[in-house]
Amino acid sequence: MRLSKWWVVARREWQVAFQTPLAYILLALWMLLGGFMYVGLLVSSQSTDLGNLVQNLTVLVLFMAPFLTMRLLAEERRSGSDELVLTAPISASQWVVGKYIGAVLVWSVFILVSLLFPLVTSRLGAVDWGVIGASWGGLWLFGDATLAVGLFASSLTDSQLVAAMLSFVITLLFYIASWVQTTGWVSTFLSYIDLPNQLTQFSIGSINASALVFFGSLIGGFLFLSVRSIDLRRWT
Amino acid sequence: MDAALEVAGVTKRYGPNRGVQNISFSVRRGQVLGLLGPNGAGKTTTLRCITGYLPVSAGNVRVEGHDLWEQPFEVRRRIGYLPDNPPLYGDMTVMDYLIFSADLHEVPAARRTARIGEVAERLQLGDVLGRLIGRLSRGYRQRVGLAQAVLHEPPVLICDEPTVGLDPAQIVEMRELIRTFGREHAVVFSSHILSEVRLLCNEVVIIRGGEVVTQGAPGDLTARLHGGAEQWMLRVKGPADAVAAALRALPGVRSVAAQPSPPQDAADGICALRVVASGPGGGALSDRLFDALAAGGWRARELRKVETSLEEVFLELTAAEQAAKGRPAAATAGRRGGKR
Repeated sequence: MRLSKWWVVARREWQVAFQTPLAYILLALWMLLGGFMYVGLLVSSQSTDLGNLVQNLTVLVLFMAPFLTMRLLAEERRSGSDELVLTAPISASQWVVGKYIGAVLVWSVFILVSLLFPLVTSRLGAVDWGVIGASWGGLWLFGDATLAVGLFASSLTDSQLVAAMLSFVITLLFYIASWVQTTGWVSTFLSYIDLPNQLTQFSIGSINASALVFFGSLIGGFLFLSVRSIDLRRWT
Repeated sequence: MDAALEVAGVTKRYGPNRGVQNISFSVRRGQVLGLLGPNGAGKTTTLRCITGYLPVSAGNVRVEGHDLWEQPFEVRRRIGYLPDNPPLYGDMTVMDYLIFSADLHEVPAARRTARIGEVAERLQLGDVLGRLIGRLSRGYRQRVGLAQAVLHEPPVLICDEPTVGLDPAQIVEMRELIRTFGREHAVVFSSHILSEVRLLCNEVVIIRGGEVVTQGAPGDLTARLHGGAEQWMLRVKGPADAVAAALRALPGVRSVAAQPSPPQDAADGICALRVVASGPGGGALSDRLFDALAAGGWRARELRKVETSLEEVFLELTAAEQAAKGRPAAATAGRRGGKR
């Protein structure tokens, strides 16, 4: 049986992520800072509602996702290892999708570990697991979208630092899109692309088709741009 | 037998700069072709075009009849590529990396382990399979690079300066590997080391400034130089001018030139001379040279026929090229000077 090419690439990313300290450090920070937020919110609200926590975790994701994605393509370009991949029988899109799935797998570990928070809460009081499922699902999607942005940023440069900064800036724009007060279709558009806006439905336990479409197209769009960026670089 | 690799008129332009122009050659299985040229001649660019890493501006590459434009994957499946300073993943172990490469190159999963074992044994990688590539020495990295290039048993193997940066023992090993792979694959390798090319290749393509200067079998290239005339090196105890004049008078001698001699020879009154025959002289010429020296009372310390080396072909060709290029450049500079 022949393995799918994207899976070969994703498997490598997964292997490498946990062979270097970066993923462990990020995971530790994620749980440490997340835990800090969790305890703070728990004590102040005295409630089992974790909607606020998820909102706050998205801020952490905003800062941490660039570190998960900055290496992906920039490092290949810097070291020249893309030369061996791009001369193998694999297309740029299979490569990009593989890289992306690899990053999503690593991010999924973060999500799974953070389920510790609702688990602890469930020992203290009644927890609505439906709402938890929806809001953590939303958080997962939010992370997936920022990873796609980060992958695109990483395709633009051979510097990991630049990739991380670009990724942060682009995600931040999506994060604060609706802060600008306007009217008409611009306002509708800005509030549509506003990431926290799209997440609110999830945190009250409803999975909204329009939000799924939004995240799906955001991810698809940035993956497409990454492929284009790789192709373009070879042709110029 | 049909050529495994055909390169036809490959041209690569980078914006207004030219990369390489109109490179053509073909290689059969069991043949080793050396792409020879000084640094910056366009060797790497040529190889990158063949492997499809760089899209060509014009021309075409075919591997076993598959066209790089029309069936890029079919071509990529049939090429093994060892880039210059192989850019391997330093963060993977050798074993993980070879598994990754095998999967990427579609080695069937059932054959994968056996194939990695074979290649690792052949390249003596058995001891380092569990080590991180980033921690390996240059020689091992080069061998891992070669391993990933041959894992999928490609008909065409392309190596970019495979011996650069290796120590002498590793260079000998790497050459031996290329020679053995050359028996079953069609091998193209680039080098700026002439002796290496002569040692390994059935066919040489010399490029400079992105263009083919000459190509052919190493033997043909050296024969072509000086119109196939023989050359002799002499070390003689005697005055250089007098000896040269005497030899010049001999039939069958086209020219005699004094060569710089080592300090010790000069101190001992020994001169070095290069005699170019007007054609293939053979033993008769050597006898005449010897007799002429004896008649003059000069003692011959050495009388040796020079095997024209690729080195000379190379120097002669590239010097001619440079001279041709030098003139217009100087003229332009002059014009610019005039304006001021």
